[in-house]
Amino acid sequence: MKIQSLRLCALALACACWLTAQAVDDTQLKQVIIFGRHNVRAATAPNTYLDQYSVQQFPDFGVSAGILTPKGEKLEAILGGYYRQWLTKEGLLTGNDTADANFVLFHANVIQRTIDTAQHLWAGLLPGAPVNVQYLTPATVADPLFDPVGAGVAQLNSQVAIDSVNGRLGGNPQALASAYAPEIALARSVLLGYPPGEVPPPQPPKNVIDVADFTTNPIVLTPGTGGAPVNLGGLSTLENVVDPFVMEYADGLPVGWGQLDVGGVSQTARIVNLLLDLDFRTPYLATVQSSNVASHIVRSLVQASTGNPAWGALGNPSTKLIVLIASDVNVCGLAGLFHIDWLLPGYPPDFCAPGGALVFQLRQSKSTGQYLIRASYIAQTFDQLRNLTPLTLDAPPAIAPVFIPNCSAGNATFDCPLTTFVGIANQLIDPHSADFLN
Amino acid sequence: MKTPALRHVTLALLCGPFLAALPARAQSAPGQSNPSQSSDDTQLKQVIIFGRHGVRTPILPDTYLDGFSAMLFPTFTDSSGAPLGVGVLTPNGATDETILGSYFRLWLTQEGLLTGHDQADANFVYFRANNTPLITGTATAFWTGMLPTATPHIQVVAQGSDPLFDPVDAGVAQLDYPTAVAAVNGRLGSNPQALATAYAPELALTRSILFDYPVSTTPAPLTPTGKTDVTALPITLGAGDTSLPVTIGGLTQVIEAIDPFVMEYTDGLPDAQVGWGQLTTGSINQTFRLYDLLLDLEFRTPYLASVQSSNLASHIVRSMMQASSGSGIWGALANPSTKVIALIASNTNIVGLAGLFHLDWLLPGYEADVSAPSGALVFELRQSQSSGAYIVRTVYIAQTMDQLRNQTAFTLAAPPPSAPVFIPGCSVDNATFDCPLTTFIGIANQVIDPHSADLVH
Repeated sequence: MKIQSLRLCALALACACWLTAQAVDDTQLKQVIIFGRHNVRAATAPNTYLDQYSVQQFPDFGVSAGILTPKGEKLEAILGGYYRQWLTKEGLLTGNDTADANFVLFHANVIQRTIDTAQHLWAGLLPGAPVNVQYLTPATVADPLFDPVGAGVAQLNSQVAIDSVNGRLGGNPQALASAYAPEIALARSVLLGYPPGEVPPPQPPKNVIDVADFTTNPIVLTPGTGGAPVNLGGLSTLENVVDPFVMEYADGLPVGWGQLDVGGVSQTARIVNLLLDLDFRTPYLATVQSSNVASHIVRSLVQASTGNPAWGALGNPSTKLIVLIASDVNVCGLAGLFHIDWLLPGYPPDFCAPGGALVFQLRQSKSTGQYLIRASYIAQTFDQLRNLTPLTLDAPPAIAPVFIPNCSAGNATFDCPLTTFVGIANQLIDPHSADFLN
Repeated sequence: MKTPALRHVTLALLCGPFLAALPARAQSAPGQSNPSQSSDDTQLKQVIIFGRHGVRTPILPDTYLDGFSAMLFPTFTDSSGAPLGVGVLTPNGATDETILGSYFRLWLTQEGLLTGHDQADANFVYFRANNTPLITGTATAFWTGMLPTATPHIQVVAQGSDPLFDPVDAGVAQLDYPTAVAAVNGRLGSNPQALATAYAPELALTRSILFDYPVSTTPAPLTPTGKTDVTALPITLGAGDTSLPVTIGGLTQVIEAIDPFVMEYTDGLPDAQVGWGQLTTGSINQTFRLYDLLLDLEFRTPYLASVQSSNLASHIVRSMMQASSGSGIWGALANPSTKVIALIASNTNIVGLAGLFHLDWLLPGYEADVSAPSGALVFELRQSQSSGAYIVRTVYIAQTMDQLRNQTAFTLAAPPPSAPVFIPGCSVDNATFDCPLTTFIGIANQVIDPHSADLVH
């Protein structure tokens, strides 16, 4: 016991010195990669579909299914404005937007909401420069960064995909119905319009489908369609139906027909998170689906640190800011590949919020010249979204510094040496699921 | 592009005949008779059962716990009504453990690993338990079910900590506490207090049970005079010790307060004494998400799993290598002819090992990744009779809460639930998620930190 006490004292002393040292960060920001989700959008499923599952009609976002809302556009520009302030303070942007634009790469996935999000982020970040977001066309094409399987860069074995999920669920996915009973009960009560906890829960009206009836629509695993590698039957249906609640709150609409507060929204969002976890964080699926974007991110960081062009990197060695805008599936998948987690106030752990982004900073020590990675997850809170809250350096969005396993040091920003980061990336990235295209 | 495609085709071809032999993608419990198993060409060569202790009394005295609740915590007693001590295996827990051991006896006899001659079989069995009465008692009760006519022989480390189960305290692994705190903090955005919001429904349920009111009461009643509201304590991180590497502030008291609930139910206490009559298995599960959260942060966080579970993982893998090769090797348990290795420890150990290999499971009626009383990760070393190749087949097996409460007996036709477990980076495409031993060794070498493991037997 004495040895341990001494050890703790020594630790306390060491920490005290270290905390003092933290006040002076001798690193300089050299490059930033922002890997973000689109901002607030309409429900991805049309209301004619969703309304089958609810006693009241789902609200109208004013735009078609899956389209970024006008408020989502404003929110993304606000977020861009915050990044502008931060990157100007860091010296990466100069205030001369036209000149800065030469050192910026924006790349969005092919669909409207990701392109529109990227364009509004640009508008907030570089308001004096013409918007320049690159994306593949037409919207039906698969971008190898964000859909490497669809693009043929990575091969997904559907049966292994199902097995890898099934083997996290004891071969019994239907057991999720009891493991998530509180969330399912809450969702059902909102959809069918009765107080949560009512006993016995009422039957649905004849013209409404009971989304929690997993006898009729069991939770079974089949090859996925529409972007998810594995379909989870009744659970996928439920996820589709609860998906609008987060967007309703963020867009400023009445939420769940007035029955959900922000805590309730967060609780139903656990169902969304569960699907994302199973379909994109499961190790096999993260490897196949996220190796290509991970490879390009790591190679871009290496390219910027060496000053030499590298195959499989984005932009060029002098690119200071790379912005990649895609969907929650992409952000969650990359996080799963590196086993990284975060928590922001008001959200479930690991939630990929509208507009939220994993941000990788490439920094260089001014004293040693060494490069390090500093990672964080940044997103507007539920209320910052709903209230269109302006963001400043003093009133920033929510920021979670992220510890990168097997790399981060024990300092407050969890700095990770670039060489170590490259090493773990080489272990985690499947070279057969990545290409070397720029 | 062609190379990976070819690889998948090859894999599919290799798996094809096997799949053809397994028409039903049925859930496969150890020993459970099902159509898929009847044509399984593999033979069980060794099994490693890594289990948690059985149903126990609360780990803290009621005089302490009662500070957290409006009503007094129930007292666990023996059949004569005498109070049991703190943190001990209950008589019912021992009975449940023996029942589970009896099931393993049936299964391992069917598999040909046990013969029915207990004295002879005991020579090929290695039991090791962490050295507390709770855990040695569990191991003894399990042995009694598995080899009822042989004298239990449980290995323990007599002095000091067992390096298998507490490698940091034993000096085999070094835990850097600032890194431990950072590793957890960096999963929580350096804002552990945000857990109070993220787990608000579970904390609200916990508070309502502890202070005896319907969870839907608005506003929630005040904290009773003289009591501590564990759900309102600040959640902060600090350097811990070898039993809990990171202190987590008030979340620790929450766990202390809810820990008895599952034991109250599974020990068969009257309904009125299970959360003072307010808890069902469903709500026990919901409160236990907080316990699972703590275990996840403290033992599954990659740095912590690596330091705290590498030694155990190394010994498990080396024991399978030893059994497959037939030659004694350093860092393995027992000897090459050992057929059954039973390791009994705590939920922290099982969760940690699972975290190291990124294993998940789900059993009916439990939360995902639960480490239930008596539950075990089971690693089967099997050999193909046609090719001679060795594979590892993994399951998590545990009695349901009701099976524990009702002391349900098992047969091969009515087994405890088991979850076949997919081992990332290794399991192949069949119903039992078989993992070639050579591949398993390869991924073990990647995830095990050699500086946190020794080569002692």
